[in-house]
Amino acid sequence: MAHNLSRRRLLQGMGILSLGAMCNSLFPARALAADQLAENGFLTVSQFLVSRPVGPILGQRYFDALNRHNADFTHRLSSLQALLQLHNFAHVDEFLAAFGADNSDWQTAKRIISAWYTGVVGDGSDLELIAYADAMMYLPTKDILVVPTYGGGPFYWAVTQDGKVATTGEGA
Amino acid sequence: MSAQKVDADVIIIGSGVMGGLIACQMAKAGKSVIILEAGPRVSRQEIVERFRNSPFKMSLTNIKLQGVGSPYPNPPHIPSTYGDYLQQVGPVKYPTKYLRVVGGTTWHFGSALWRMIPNDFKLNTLYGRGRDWPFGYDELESWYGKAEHELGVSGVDGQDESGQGGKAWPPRSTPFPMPGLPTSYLFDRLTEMLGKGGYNPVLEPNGRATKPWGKRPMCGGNNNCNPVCPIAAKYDGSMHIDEAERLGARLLDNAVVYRIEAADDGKITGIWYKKPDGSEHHLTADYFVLAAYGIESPKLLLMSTSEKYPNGIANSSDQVGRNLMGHTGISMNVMMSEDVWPGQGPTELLVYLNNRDGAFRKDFPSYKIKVRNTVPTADYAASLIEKGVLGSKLDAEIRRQSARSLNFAIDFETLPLAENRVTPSKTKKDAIGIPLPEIYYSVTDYWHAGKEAGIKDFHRFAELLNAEILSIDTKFQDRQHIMGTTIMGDDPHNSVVDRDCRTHDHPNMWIAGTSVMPSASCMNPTLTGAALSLRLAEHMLQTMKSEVAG
Repeated sequence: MAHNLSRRRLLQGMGILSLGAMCNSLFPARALAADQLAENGFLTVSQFLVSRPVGPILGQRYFDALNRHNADFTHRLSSLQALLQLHNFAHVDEFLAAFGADNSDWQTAKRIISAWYTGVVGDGSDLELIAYADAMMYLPTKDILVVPTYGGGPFYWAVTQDGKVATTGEGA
Repeated sequence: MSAQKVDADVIIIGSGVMGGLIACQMAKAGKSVIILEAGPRVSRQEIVERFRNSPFKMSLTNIKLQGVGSPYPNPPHIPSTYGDYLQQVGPVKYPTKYLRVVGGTTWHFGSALWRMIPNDFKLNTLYGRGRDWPFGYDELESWYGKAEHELGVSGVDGQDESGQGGKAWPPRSTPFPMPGLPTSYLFDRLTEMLGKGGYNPVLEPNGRATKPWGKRPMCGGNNNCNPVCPIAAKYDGSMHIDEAERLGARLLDNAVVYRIEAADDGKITGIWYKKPDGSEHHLTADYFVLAAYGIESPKLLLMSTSEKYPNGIANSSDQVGRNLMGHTGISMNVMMSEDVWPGQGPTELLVYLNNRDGAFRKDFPSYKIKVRNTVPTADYAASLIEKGVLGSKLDAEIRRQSARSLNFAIDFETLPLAENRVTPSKTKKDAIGIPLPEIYYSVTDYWHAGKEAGIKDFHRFAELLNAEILSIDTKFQDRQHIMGTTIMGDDPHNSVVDRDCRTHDHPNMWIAGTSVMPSASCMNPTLTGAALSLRLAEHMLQTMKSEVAG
C-alpha cells in the first residue's frame, strides 16, 4: 500500500488532510472506487442528477449494477455526460426541462436517478438491491418519517404539542 | 393412560402462538411435551437482514410484489404461502399468508389482539345468520384476560370497542396488562375530522409493549410490524416456544406431520412425520393437540384416512375443512388536501367500528374500517420516477404524497359456508410428496351488501376529510385471518370439536386455534384463539387428572 502511504504523507505535508482523503487512506477500496468513477464520470453525473453529494462506494455499486442490467450503459453514460458538458446546466431541472422522455440521454438520466432514489436497479422481477436505508427517496421526508426497521425510538411519534407533527429528531 | 411406553405425554403439532401457549401450560404441569414444527427455526436478525436486503418489499400499492416480498424461508419441503403453494379452485381467491416456521404466523402479524363482543357469540339467534357458539362471551371472559396477560397486550381501558362511542365494552374483569400506545398526529387529526360525521375512533388493543414486558422492550415505532418487528417489542409465538423449551418441552423443527393414526376405539395412537430428506418417523403419546392453523390442520386430518376412518381423522361429521371463513375486504386510497403524515409509529392502531354490531347484521355483515399507517415513501417514489417525475419536483412530490396519501381498509365478517373448504390436492404435491392445500372460496350476496355499505362509508370519509378518492379496490382482499375449518359445536353431526375444543371423534385429541371458531366477527381472531387455547389446556389437564384417578 505504498501508494496510499505516500499519498497520505503528501496530503499531510500540504496541510489539507480532508476527511475524505483520510478515509481513502484508511480504506483503500474507497480510494480505488473513487479513482475509477472519477475516470468514467459516473459520480459527477450522478451528483448533478440528484443535486446532492454522492459517495464513491455506493456509486461504484450502482455503476456496476447499472452495467449488469444495461449492456450499453457505459456508452449511454458517455453520451449523457457529453450532453451535460456541452450545455453546462446550472441545475438538473434545467436539463429535465430542455429534454423529454423521448430523448435517450433523458432516459439514461432517469435510470441513474431511479437507482440512487429507490436503491434498486433492474426491471420487472430482475431487481437487485444496492441500498436500503441509504436510498435517497427517504431523504425528502427524513425529518418526519423513519425508514422501516430503523425506528425513532420509544414513542417518538407521540404528539407533544397540540396539532403538531412529531419529528424524528434528525432535522429537515 | 396407556400401559405402553410412549414418546411423550403430549404431542403438539404446530409451534405457533396456540401450540406454544399449550406447550407452556403442559410443561408447567410437569407433562413431557414434544412439539413438531414443519418449518425451520428462524432468528430475528436473520429475518430483519433479509427484509432490508430484499429488492421486493411489501407494498400497499403493488399487491403483486407481496408475492415475493416475504423474508421468511421457502424451502422445498414447506413451500411458502407467498408463492403458488395454495391451490385456488373457487370463484374468489383466498390467498392467505401463514408462516411455517418455529413461532408461526404471529412473526408477521400486525398484532391486533381484540376480544369478540357478546353478540358475536349469538349470531344465529340474534340475526338469523351463521352459527351460534356453544357458549357465550361470559364463559370466555376470564380466558381473554389470561390470554391478554400471556401475550402482553397493550390497550386503552374504558373504550367502547363496539364502536358506538358509549360505555366500556365488552365487559372486562381485568384491565389491560399494559397501557395503550400514544397516538400520532395522523390519528388525532382523523379523530377530529371523522368525529364530525359521527365516526367513533377506537384504538386497537395490540401486542406491542408499552413498557418493558418480560424480555420485550417498548415499541420503538420501527413501522415494520409486518413482516418482522426488529426489536421484539411486538409479541410473537416464538416467545412461548422459547418459554416452553426452557420448561423442558422438546421441539422438533423441519418435522412435517403427514399422518395421524387412531385405534378402532377412537383413541389417537401416534403421528408420522417427514424430514426434509423425505425420511419417515413415528412418535407416540397419550394426548395430542393439533395446532397447525386453519389450512394445514384440516389438510392433515383429511390426509389421515384409513379403513376405519375413510373420511380422515375427526371427520365423522364431514365438516373438517369446511366453513372456511376470513375477513374478505376492500380498500380505498385517498389524497388529503392537507399534510397528515401516515407512517409515524406502529403500522396500525386506529379503527372505526360503527358497524361492528346491530340489527343490520340480518342484512349485511359486521365490519371494521382501519387506517393503514405504513411509511409510504417507497411506494410513491418508484411510481413517481416511473412516471418521469424527476429533479426538484421528485423531492417535492415524494414529500407531498407521503404526507397526504392515505389508505383505508375494511374487513367484513364472513359466514361459515359448507362449500368454502380446504382439501388436500389430488394432483399436486410438494417436494416430499405431501399434497398441496386446495382452497374453494366464495362470497355471498350478504358480503356484497356489506361491500355496498362499506363503500358508502368510504365516500363519507372522503367528504369529511376533504380528500380526493384515488381508487377503491373491491377485489376480495384477503386479510389472512383463517377461521372455521375445524368448527366447534355441541352437535357431533355438524361440528368437529366440542365446546372444550376436543374432537368429537377422538377423546385424546384437541384442536387449538382460530379454526374452531363458529363465527368470525370482523375482528382479528388471534386473541380469541389464544383464549380458547388456554381454556383447552385447562380442560386437557383436568382430563389427564381424572383419567389418572380413574
